[in-house]
Amino acid sequence: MRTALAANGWFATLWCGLSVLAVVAPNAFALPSFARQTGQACAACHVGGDWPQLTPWGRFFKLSGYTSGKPFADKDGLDHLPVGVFGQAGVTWAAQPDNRQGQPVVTPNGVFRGEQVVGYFGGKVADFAGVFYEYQYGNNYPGWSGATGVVDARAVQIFNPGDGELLVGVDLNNGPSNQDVWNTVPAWAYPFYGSPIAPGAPASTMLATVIGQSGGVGVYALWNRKWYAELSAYRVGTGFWRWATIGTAFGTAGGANYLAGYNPYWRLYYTDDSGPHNWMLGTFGMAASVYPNNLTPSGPTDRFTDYYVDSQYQYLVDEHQLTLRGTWYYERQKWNASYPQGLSSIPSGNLNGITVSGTYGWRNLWTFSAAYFQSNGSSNAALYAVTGPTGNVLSAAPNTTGYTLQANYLPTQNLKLQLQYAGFVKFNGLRSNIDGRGRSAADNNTLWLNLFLAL
Amino acid sequence: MRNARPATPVVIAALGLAVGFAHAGHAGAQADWRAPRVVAWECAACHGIDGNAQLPTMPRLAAQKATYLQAQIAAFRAAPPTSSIEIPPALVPSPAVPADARTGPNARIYMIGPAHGLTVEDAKSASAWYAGQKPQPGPAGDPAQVARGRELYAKGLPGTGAIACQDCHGADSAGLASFPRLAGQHASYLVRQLEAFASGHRASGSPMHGIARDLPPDDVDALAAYLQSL
Repeated sequence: MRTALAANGWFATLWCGLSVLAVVAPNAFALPSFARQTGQACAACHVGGDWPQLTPWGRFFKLSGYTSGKPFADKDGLDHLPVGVFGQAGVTWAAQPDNRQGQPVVTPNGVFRGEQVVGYFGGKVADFAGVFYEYQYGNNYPGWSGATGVVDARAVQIFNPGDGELLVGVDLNNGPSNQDVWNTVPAWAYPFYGSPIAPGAPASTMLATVIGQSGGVGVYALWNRKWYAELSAYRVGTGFWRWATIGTAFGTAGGANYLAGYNPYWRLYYTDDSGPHNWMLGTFGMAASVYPNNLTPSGPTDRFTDYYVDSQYQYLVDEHQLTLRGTWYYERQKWNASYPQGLSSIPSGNLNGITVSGTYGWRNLWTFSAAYFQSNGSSNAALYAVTGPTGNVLSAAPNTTGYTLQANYLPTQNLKLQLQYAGFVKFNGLRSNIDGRGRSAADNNTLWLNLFLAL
Repeated sequence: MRNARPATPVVIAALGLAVGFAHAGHAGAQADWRAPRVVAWECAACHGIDGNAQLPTMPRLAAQKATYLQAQIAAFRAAPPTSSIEIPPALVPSPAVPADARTGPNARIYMIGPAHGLTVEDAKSASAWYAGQKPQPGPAGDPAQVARGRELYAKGLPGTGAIACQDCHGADSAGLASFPRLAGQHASYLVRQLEAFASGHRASGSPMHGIARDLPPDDVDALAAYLQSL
């Protein structure tokens, strides 16, 4: 506990220091690096300034390789700092922090704690290329450790065949969908941030699971800012990719998912806009081969094929911003390696789900959001079994249903106060007795109050 | 140990492509190497290298009058720079805000910061570049709306302060002297500017304030649809 206390003390000092600087010297610290580079407000790229939601211009800024604006240094010297710091602290209250036997499930409950400090580099590195690299130092309750966050490096070129505009790019990133510009993909999906100690859904697709654990290279094209196509390949984040997967425990049993070879990821969407309205319909997915044991990456593999369909609608005028999002997915699982070893109870199965969410923003000051999600899949006792006191299996399904309600207040562009309620209707296929010892799904509901500060 | 290789063929291929891009063209990832540096780095991502902005919230600048563009950059620069962390609502008119400054919320979010970073020479060369670009025709609108817009453009709204647009902007709406070109402009942008004139967020361009206040919303939409279709 010494480490935890020391880390919290250190965090508190840093937090107070940053807060004082933010209040006392607002103009000494321009906004995070992209705003310094472009000279624009956060709200130019982020809907209502409420990051990480993107506006049409924000999406193009990312696809064009973060190249708009001034280089951070030129022959006259340093123009602006291309680095920034982001701090997060909060408190979580669970409906039932302890289980019926008195052991903690959500801990520490009701205690304000530093959650993470993120340092990042973001900016253009050449006229045709830009880099976004995050390093997070996060609270593990107890103890703190470092890890890479989102890594996204691009080189782009724009051509003008005929009267059209063709943007072609190559991208390096550390997880499928990290490179995407829509808030409907796993890496950037609503609610964007959640309590680090709240219970989460027991199953997710392989595409979502290997975010931050893998290295990917892709090429993409954007035609007339409407049609987008991308093809990428992902491999395990070891060797060359270790700079982008710091903190992933490849050497610990179960510490990572070990992708075999290169695994294709695709993305296609169409987007259009008219006045204050813009919308998108798209699809993406991945075919992944994964070794059942990350410590012995050889031999037969399990095979996961993920199909996603996503759509978003935005209405953006000066005072009001509305975004509606929908994501549907289906994962086909072939447990070719795990099933013979007894690591999966079925030879093949699936996982599917849907998430719908909406956010209304008012005057770049407030945002209010709501979401409903459902995740269903094949029963698989080796992975999801919930057993009663006598060893009887109550459920072996990952099926989880829930919702979130959220209110954000941004008194300044780099300060965000967030209140989020995450509720569960069903957890692990059960509404009640989800641990076989009397805990109900709704006992996992949490209220999370969180403070963000970006510099 | 395949995972111990320092770099994989795919990574090498990607880096090769990146190097190719480095040699393919000029700044801001744009292909037209003749554009001034300021256009490529500061303007093109929103307004397009040729001024035919694709995002409907961003105005088209191709063939716009250079004097008008310079005056607008000056109007953005006349507004106090947006503080780094404040939320940018529209500025309330006050003695601290010069009368000719552009102070609308979008001006504050998108333009005031970059405009303050421009030198007078930058503003001149960017304005000259866009004035020399070839405009693309805008999308055709609803025929009835376009017809109404054409009538308003030629005759104004008789009995009100909304005089004929063509008197200042030209019969072909390509602009006259310091009066801006309107042909082919995004309809949503035109509507927003008329709103800004009516509310006073665009304080300069004095004939426009009374005109904008006298135009009913349906006629504003019709005018915008007509002008966009040119």
